[in-house]
Amino acid sequence: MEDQHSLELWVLEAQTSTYAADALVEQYLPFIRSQTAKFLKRKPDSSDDELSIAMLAFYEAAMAYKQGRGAFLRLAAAAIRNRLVDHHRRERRHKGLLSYHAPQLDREEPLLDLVADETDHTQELVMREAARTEIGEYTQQLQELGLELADIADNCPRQERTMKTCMAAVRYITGQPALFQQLLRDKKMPLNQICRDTGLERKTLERHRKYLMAALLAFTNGFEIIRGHIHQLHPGKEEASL
Amino acid sequence: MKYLVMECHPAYAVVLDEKGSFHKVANQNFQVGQLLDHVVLYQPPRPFLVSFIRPFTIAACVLLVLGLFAQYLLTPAGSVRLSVNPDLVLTVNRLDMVIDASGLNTDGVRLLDNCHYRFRNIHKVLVHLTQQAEAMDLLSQGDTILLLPGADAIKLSDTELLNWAAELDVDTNSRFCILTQPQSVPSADQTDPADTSAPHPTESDDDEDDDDEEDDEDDDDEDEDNDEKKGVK
Repeated sequence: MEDQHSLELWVLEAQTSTYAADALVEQYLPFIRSQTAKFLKRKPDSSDDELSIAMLAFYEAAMAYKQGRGAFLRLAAAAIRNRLVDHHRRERRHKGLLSYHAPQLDREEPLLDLVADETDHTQELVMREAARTEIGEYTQQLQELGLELADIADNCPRQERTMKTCMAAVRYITGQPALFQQLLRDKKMPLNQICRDTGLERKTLERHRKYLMAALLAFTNGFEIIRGHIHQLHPGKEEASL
Repeated sequence: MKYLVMECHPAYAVVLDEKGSFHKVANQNFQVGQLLDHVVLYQPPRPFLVSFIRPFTIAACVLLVLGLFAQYLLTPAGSVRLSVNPDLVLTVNRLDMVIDASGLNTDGVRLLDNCHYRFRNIHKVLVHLTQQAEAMDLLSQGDTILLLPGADAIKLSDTELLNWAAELDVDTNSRFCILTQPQSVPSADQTDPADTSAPHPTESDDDEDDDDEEDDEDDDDEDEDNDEKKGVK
């Protein structure tokens, strides 16, 4: 009973703290593994997609949990089962396809070894390392602004219309260098001026303040890879969108 | 859509898509800086009431459709009076399904007691009633069956009555004389026992109409139609 109560308190803390959420998932990894094994009817491997999805489902259950709605672990078990069933139904579409990693009947090596690989793995590794360094600096600057990527993901606009409003605000600020510098210096969003000059809804901008700060930071100098990724589909539209 | 992995946690990773949106996704052994083609998106918890809106809306729509359909089924489109010796009225809806029936005399009530008519097609009910009447010795081969419009605000058209009469004639192998209006000749010609015990359809139970009926027997068809209306009443 006491354990259940302390678990509930931990879950409630995880809803507001990224570190508490990570610690909760790590602590209950054996539980997640056992639920996954029940579904798969075998021991899950760390490389199994099902285990990753089960961990995400556990996290979702923790975020959705409300005190007084019953035991958390029962809710988590149901969430894991539902997610795994959904995943299996989606993957059933690819059942008839041949895997590159499947062993051949007449050969020892898998099919992957026989197919020509045109990817430049060295270049890919170099790019990934450069991206990792840039993202590390980006994350650090976000922390100086009091922001975390997980919070920004939660704060990100989901609707097309809201995203357009936020992008319009970003375009306006990046087009005003003095205003942009003031924002980076003071770490405050000049909402009054933005709403007055652009006519955008104040409530929308306030609601997505964290995302706006993160998006504006990405458009400062030094984050070419991140900025380039956002415009990867439409490379010519970078200037048009700004 | 390509996703750039920005941060990794045990249960999820934060990725940035090409439209500038940040997402939480399942961490399938990703590394920061990795570019992905396919992700499993995190589903945030929905507010309590919102999770009920969709099922309630669907249930309300289903109930509304069912209610409208039920009303459509139960709205009478007209009624037909079946007059042999048993005299009864069948009320039908727009789909020619019987929604109500009532006997106008004792034999009519008896006949309906053994008949499952509700929401059955009018043709089948007429055939069944005819067969039932025959089984109860209320009707014999050669007898006359009158199909008349009922006393409703919404009258059945003559064409509909004629169609029903024709179908009944076919279904009963033309063993009976089926009419859609009372005969001009008095019923003294019909000497069958089934008929003698049954009042002529135009000789209704209302005594008030007797004088009118005697006067109208020699009148034109237009007057006879008026009689039908009076006789039915």
